[in-house]
Amino acid sequence: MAAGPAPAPAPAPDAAPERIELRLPSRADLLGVVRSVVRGLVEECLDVRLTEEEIAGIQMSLQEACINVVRHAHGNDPSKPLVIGILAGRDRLVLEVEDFGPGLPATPPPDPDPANPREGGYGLFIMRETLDEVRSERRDGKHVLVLVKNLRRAAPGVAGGG
Amino acid sequence: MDIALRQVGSTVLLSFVRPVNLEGDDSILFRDRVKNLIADGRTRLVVDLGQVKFIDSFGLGALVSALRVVRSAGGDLKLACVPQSVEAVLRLTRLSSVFECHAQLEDALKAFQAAG
Repeated sequence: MAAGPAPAPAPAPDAAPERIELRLPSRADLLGVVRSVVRGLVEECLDVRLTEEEIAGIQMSLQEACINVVRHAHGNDPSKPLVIGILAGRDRLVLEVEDFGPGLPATPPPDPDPANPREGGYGLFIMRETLDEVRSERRDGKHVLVLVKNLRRAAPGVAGGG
Repeated sequence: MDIALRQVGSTVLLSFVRPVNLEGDDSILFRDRVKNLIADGRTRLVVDLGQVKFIDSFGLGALVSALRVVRSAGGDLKLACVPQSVEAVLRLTRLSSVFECHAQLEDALKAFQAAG
């Protein structure tokens, strides 16, 4: 019996990643710190290397989620903590932004229309365009916006370059 | 946020003096600065974005607001030296066709001159 190439082992399920938590006062001027932290984490801690465009998309989405919390849900009140949970798994990066507000609007703003450009309403659109999943949850009386980025993985044995 | 103004003929060139993030309250300062110029009758504006390191939805909103006000006053606002990262956000939010963008300040100024 001829032995063919051994089948590739099925990938192990993604183990539950450890949750990293950022907790800051609800201040818009601190959001640069949040962007820097998530960039550092993405660059240093993930198994895969994301493109600059993907990293910028993650940073922008997190910015939009956080500025909504700071401005709208927490009314720029620094005594209300801005809490961001980061779960950097092998298959996906999950960002959880918590707030004490009412959550996402029941009717999301319409997509941007170049024929009639709006002065606002880009945040959710940016998140949905740059991430793989955006969902709103209720946990222990809090609203949690869950942002998910699936992580591409290079096929085994495929060399880069060209 | 320090914004330098330079009058070139009938056009006003707005430049950020140092690297900035066009986000949150800084966006409002920028928008109000532009609106004050328009209130002064200066309605041909070139905004040099070369020093903008990051822009969020508030920054985008400020640019759109400034554009709408200047156009309703019969003028126009052109962008120049748009960094790649900002250009990507404009493209993502379908605003790249809304703004006239020029690689160089001189090109934006010439575009106003050509328009008469």
